[in-house]
Amino acid sequence: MSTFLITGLLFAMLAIGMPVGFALVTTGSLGLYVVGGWDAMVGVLTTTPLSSASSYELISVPLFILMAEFVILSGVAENLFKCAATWVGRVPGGLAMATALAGAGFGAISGSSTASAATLSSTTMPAMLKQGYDPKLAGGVVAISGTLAMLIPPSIALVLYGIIADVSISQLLVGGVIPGILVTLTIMATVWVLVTLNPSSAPVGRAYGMAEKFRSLTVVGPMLFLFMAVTGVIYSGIATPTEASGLGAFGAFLIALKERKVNPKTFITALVHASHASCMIIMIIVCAKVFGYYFTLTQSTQAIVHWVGSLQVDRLVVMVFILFGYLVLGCVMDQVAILILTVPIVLPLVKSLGFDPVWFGVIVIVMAEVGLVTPPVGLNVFVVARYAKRPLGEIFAGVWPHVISHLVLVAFLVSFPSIILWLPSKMSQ
Amino acid sequence: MNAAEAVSESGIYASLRRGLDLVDGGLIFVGSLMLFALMCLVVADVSMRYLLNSPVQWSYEVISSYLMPGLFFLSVSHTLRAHSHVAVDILHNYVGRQTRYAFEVIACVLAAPAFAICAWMAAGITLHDFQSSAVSSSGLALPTWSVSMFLPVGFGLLSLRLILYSVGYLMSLGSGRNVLALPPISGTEEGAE
Repeated sequence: MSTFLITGLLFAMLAIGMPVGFALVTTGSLGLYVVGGWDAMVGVLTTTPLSSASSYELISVPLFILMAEFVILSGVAENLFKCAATWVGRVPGGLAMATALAGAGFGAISGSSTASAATLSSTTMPAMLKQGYDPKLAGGVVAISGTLAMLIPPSIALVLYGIIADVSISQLLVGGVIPGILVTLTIMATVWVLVTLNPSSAPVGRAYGMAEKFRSLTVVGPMLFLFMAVTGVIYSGIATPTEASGLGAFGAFLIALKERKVNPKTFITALVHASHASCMIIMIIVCAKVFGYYFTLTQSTQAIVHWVGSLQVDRLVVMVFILFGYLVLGCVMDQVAILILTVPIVLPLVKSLGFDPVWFGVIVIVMAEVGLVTPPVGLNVFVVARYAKRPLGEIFAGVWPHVISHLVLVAFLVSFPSIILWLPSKMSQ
Repeated sequence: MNAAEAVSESGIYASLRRGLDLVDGGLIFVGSLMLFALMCLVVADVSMRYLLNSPVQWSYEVISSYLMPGLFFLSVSHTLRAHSHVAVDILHNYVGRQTRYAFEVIACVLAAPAFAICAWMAAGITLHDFQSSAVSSSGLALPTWSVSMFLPVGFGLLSLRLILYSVGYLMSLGSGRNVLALPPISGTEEGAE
């Protein structure tokens, strides 16, 4: 009974806008007091925050965030779109497709989807609008392309899932590669369909000579350098994800230095931004641990697993319900909060049904990508609207075709798990 | 005024806020430098292990004892000041200004005790560690108070900020003035940082 009351209180606190971490620690403490008394509550409160925040494996979270900040500072990501547009700008919907490619390229060197959406908005939206693109088409493709950074390694979201679920982060990051490519192709295919249906929405761009095309490839150098510094060393087994996160941040810092973008002000600003974002995530992890102790004491997770096990329904039906739950949650909550709140409860159930935790992690992140662009809390849409100075409704309207094609892709990935699991199975051990 | 905090320029309340902001500003600076040091130490450790077959022996302990807790606890109050602690604020789109202030008061009043208890009890442990000159059992034999102090400092300042915010939001609610501005709503373009 107390579990329902405490969980209800948690949702009430979340609903009035209390920061997620604060709501978790408040209700978790109350729950511990109810179940175990003052000593149990104080025991957890005085030890858990320090031990959780001291976790060595957690260092990849702030370091990947720092890497994203330095990539932004360096400005190299801004040239990704120019490069892609030079190569595919001539085909119908070419600039929109170039946006998807730039999103994938940005995703390969940064794990922050918000940073990706902001960078893409300021570089790709003006170019598309100048060429006469329908603002809905342009805004939609920018918002959805920004989400690719969440899936393509180095992905901060996949690292978080790995930490929470106690699943190999290396396998998760490598598992995100093929779905990342598939999502990019899906975005491009959706653009192709939209432009075929309404050719006036995306006028054809100018052609570039081969010399210009090859000149545009200068951006590939730093990109490959960073990609190899992170995903390359993880895949080859040279470094662990924690080590790779340090190398990636350092590589991005060197590029920012080479581009002469580092001065005391920009340096401190990048560090403070990274500290805020890291602190926000660690806060939710720490507070979720406190709440987790309460949940463990009440044995709620086991009760849920037993209850679902007794339902006598096909495991795929259960998975569809779980993914539908993620779709609904994604509409109203931040993706980091969703991961930390739900994975400890849902994963034991998923494992008990015989699904692979690496596969599930990647699927959950693809669902989170959808959550980033669905109203009312589609964070990437707000970012695009702000940076591109376009109405919110216009971007939301433009993103719907991509949401539908994303969901079709999720169905495909659920039907064929080996698409996700093949590459991790080939990794150096 | 939008997301900027609209605090009256005089009075005890404003002075307390400025004092806390000053302390938090110093601590986030230290915390940020710790993040940079973390990056440098990881790179040095990996490089020396692979190139010279001689890893930095103390890196694990320094990272987990000082740099990670420092990065988190020294930034935690400033992160609240920057409205960077993520919240679900959909309801705020559909209610009036007074109700939003009431929500903020409730949130701060409820959250403050958990962090305050945490900070108070942990401060007792840190003081005991200091008085007994206890050291860690690991290789570097670090004074345990120098590690455990991060929690009372970070959560202590966070509790103070929550208490000050409770008062500020309550004064705004009661007076109708913008003593403390509401946080930006993420469901608006203003909140999309």
